[in-house]
Amino acid sequence: MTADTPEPRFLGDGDGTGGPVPPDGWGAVACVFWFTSAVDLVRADRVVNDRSNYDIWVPRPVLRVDGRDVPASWSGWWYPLRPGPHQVEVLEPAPAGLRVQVTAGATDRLRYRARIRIRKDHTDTHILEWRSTATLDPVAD
Amino acid sequence: MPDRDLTGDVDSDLVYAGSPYRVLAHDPNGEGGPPPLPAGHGGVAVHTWCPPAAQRHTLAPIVGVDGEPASYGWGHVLIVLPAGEHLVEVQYVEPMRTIPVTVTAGQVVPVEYAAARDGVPAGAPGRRRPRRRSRRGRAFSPVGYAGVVLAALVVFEAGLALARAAGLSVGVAGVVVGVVAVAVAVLGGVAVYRHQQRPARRSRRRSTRTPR
Repeated sequence: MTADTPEPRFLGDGDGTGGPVPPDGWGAVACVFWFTSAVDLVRADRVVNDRSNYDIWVPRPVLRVDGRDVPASWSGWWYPLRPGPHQVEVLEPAPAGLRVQVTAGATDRLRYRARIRIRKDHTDTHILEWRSTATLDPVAD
Repeated sequence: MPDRDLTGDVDSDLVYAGSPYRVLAHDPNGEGGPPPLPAGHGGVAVHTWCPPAAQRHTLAPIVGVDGEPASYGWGHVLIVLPAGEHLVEVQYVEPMRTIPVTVTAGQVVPVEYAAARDGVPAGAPGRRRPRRRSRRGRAFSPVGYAGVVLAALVVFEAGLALARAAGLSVGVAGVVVGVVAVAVAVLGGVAVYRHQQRPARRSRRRSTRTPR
């Protein structure tokens, strides 16, 4: 890392646009992280009821670009990258990966969407496990 | 964080169980301003509230900072944070809002979150808003009634004309018109019923506004 390496940028709520123009010799990837969550109440391995998850905090997504941890939250982020192929991987809450071909001066937009299902016992007291699925897709401009 | 720095402060009832942050009760209009904060710390004073029209179908959001939960409930809290840049997030079924906040030592930054009037998480791109008017309301509008009466008259006249053209007596024509009218009524009823049922079922499955 050199001193003039551009830093990732928080983009706020929105569709991942509004990031800066990448500096000379750089491209970028913008990603919007989103989830929806529900609680399944389980008794004897069977789901007996379900509800929206309005009371359990969902930890931030964990993102790795080319094996390196980068900051992320449940909103939009902009990551400057050198032109060429890059491996974008989300590890938590559910794994999803994508190989991105970054071009100089351009920002590729991605969208990560997680569907989180939290299994609790039938009294709605104890969390048993988190079951999540996710997709990471390119967004057409 | 040493307790003596926070002498006299009261933990908020709204603290999210297991939160790594100190979450204090906070009265923004109280005498004497914010409580003394530990050295190098500031705070975010979060006010969450819900419009009266939405209270029936909206539950409180969870407020967090830098990916960790802080408070859960409606009201005022003061989240004690080290000076610096922080991300304040609100979750309610989905990510609702995330804003960057700069906290300076000894200062309190006010943040306000108001629930949407319809109480529906809207973070999903392309999510449809709930219908303002039900299909039922539209199907039984005065215009609909007028249309049904007109259609019945047209069927009746057409049946009579057809029967006369075919040389049938008025009695036989009456039977023909009756059969046609019953068939039209049954088919129309089925069409209206399916029209009402389909969107209702979909919105029930997608709805997140009355979690229980």
